[in-house]
Amino acid sequence: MKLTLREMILISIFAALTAVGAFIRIPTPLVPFTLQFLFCAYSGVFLGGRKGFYSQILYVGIGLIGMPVFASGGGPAYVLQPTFGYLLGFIACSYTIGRLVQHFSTITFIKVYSAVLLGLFFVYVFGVGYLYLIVNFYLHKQMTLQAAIGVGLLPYISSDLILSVLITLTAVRIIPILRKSGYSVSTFNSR
Amino acid sequence: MLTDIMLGQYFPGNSLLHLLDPRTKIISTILFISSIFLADTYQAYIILAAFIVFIIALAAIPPTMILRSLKPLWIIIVLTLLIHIFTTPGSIIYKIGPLAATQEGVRQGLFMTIRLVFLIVVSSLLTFTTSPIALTDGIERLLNPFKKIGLPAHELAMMMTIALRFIPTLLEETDKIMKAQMARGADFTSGNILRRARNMIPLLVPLFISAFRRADELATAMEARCYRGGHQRTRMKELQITTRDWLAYGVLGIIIGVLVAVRITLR
Repeated sequence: MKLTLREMILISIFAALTAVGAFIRIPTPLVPFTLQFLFCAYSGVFLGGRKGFYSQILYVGIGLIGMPVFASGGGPAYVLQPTFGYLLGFIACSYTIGRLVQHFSTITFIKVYSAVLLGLFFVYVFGVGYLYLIVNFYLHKQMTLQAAIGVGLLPYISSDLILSVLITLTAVRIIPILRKSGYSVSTFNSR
Repeated sequence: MLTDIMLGQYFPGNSLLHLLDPRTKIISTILFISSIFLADTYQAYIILAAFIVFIIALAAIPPTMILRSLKPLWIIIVLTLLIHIFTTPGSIIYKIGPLAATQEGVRQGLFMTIRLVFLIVVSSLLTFTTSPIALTDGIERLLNPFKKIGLPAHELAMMMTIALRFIPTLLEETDKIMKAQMARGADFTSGNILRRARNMIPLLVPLFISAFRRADELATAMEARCYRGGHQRTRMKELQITTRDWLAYGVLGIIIGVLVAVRITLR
């Protein structure tokens, strides 16, 4: 991997933005939702697959060495938290979205929205899967997959779907400008 | 508000723990955290607790700081305890409605909870006694051997430093933009979810513009100062392994030895 200085800085900034997203909590009647997913998806959209992937790895790495950048703290012990899977999901999500968006020659709402939804799908596959594994094999408690989905997916899915619309709406306007201005952090020539 | 969030929990000091090489601290933390999983008897937990109290005292970190690091996780801590007490099968000691607390449950719950508390305390001790810069320096040096297989150790450490530097800045920026937009009539706290999501646009657009601008400015500033990666870079403060560090490894080795012995003899 050879990164230019500007790429390195953008990766760091998106890792920092994801951390900021964990602190912005929007109070809703049911579960408060954070903006981590939003910035994670944006990192894929704006930076492209490879760099988006690095930015999320960096974010998770910073949290794991003990900086309190996750929704509830940080530190190596976070690996044992049932919710750690979502963080792994963010890495996969950013990569997927970035890879797909990079290869779109024309940017339309439908295309970007389906890329974001696929990314979201990965967040939940990792998130709910990890939740299920941790509860059953670390905490040694019986939990059915249905119960895991009920706890880990249903309360959040509606707000995440709305966030996806928001991401797509802003992305379809910003990507063409980025590409035209040659800022092009997500053009085709990235390896 | 947002800016109240304390980041980089570094607690400056001059204790033996503060003076250890960051590499020693990172390696010892990982080793010690893994050794916590060796404990499965009351005796082992007492030894662990005594040792943790000893290092907290050695680091001269006020106990209130330690408690504060546990605060954000208290829900999970209490939940772990309750789930284990009420769902483990065994001899029933207490009943509330359909829930039955069992003796085995209390034991298992206590163990799991104390283990979780130990894990959090030990890992936060690392960030309490090591400044973020020293920490990333240590990580860079630890990852150096992996350079041969293509891992960009210096770049990673640099990106970590930049990200850590920018988190407070971006938090402050977010706070400022929110207030500025609220003064113009933006509303972030009412309406249904759909409305709230749409109201985020006046926050997000300026935030991204400012983030990209800052990235550009920083890149220019670094290039103007002839930054060109880790190659042949010299440092003002070189990391050094001293007698202190070997002493720390020795003490850790003894503790792990004792834990292994306790595990084997007290089954």
